Amino acid sequence: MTVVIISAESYCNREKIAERTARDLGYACLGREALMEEASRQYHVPAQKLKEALKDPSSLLTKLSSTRTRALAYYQAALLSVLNKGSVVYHGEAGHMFVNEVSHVLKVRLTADLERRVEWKAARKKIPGKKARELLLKEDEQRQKWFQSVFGMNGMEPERFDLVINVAEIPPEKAAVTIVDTAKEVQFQPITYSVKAMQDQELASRVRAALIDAYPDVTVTARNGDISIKTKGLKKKEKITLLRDQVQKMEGVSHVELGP
Amino acid sequence: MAVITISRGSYSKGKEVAEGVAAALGYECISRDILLEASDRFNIPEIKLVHAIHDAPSILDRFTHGQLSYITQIQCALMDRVKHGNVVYHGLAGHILLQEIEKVLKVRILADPALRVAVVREREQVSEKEARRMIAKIDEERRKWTRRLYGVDPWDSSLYDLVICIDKIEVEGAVRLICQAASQEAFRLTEQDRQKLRDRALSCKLRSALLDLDPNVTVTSEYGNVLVFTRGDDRKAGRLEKKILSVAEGMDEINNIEIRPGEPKPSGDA
Repeated sequence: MTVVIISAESYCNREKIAERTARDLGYACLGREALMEEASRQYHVPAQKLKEALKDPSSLLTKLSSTRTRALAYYQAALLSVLNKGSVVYHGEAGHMFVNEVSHVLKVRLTADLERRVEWKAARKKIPGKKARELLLKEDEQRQKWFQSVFGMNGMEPERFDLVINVAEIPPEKAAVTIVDTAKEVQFQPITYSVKAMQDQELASRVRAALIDAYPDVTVTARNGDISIKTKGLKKKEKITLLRDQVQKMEGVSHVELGP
Repeated sequence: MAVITISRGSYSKGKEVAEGVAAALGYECISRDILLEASDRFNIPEIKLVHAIHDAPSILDRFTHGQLSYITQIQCALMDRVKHGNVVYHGLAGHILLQEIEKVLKVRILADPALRVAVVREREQVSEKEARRMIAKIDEERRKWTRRLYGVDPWDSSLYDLVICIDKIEVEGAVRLICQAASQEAFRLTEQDRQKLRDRALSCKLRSALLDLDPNVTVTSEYGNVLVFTRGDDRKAGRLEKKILSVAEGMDEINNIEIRPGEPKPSGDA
């Protein structure tokens, strides 16, 4: 039931290490692209739109903040729905930012110094080192901008992870062994409290995703099935009743509180 | 057989982890004792060594020659201890002082600020505010020290092979992870690596002994065959050579010594 989230700098063998980890743990393995497809299916949004909104900080689409807010809400809800089932390795850039304070989630970052990443990129793309360096630096900058614009912070500080592995020194298969062994540590096994915390976050994100189109400013918290919704978009009584009924019918919801 | 450095934020349980790793692997665990050794060996008050390795210079200042010389002496004492391998070193910029040594397993231990505050409060019997202030001050000093001297940020995780957040993984888990990493081929010392360590220790030792004669002296060693590069001009060269030879005479590890006055310093050597 443990969940492993792997984030990585580019060209750090993220996918390979995630797949190896999942195989050794007997878990499912899911990457960012597959999750976008899942979010697209669940929330009836074209996958391409989601990708644009979540990927490129300079695209026109992402400059419309409500578009990005919606895309992020769908992505988070789809991610938490997968993580809530447990026994999964998710690998993507920002997965670690969407789930907090759940003790059975192991957050891992893969890193390597720029020189090695330049070597790897040059070899993989068959381009000169100078070109590879230029491209990498540009990509890194784009990522930083994206994190800054979405989360208002760097998001990659080592303190955000339980484990940071330098794959320039530790080869992929050994990195996977390290992750597997850590995931088996007792601290990362689910306990009643952590399972509830994950369920609450999953439910809150699902409710928010259901409401975000009509109420872009909505914030939702959940505690043991009790939902608290805050939005400024509720002025008419009929609207309040409709919204309460809509949420009350959702799976896992036992009580709904509404507020401005 | 490996050399492991454990870098840690203050009050981050790094000492416990280092001692645990050393006990599990049967390695020697060293830390502050290298300061005492350097202090004894070079007859420098320990407090001066502590200041040299702890205090960052102000923005406008550079490290003084004295501070740099103390850091070299500390590095020398450390090299002497790690030259046979099977060592866990924690604290005092080990990953930086040993940065030119290949196959060192470099680990950083992080702790949640709240945990560090709790440890400081318990250990130092201070208020939460004071504990936060103390931690921020130590972190800032450490950051400045490393940046000014080596141009890197100790918080940059790519400087390390493993960064472990101690909050959830805890001391026992961290010990297991580090032991497992140390057993990997990438960190296992071969006889050739050990020879490099011995050569490095020797060049450090000779350089330390020569700093007073020429602060710009550089020393290399390969299987005990030593080259000394000095910046001295022709007038001083003869005198300097005599002094260097007399210092080297007491070092049994030296097979052969050559002095190259006025030659440029080769990169990456002591």
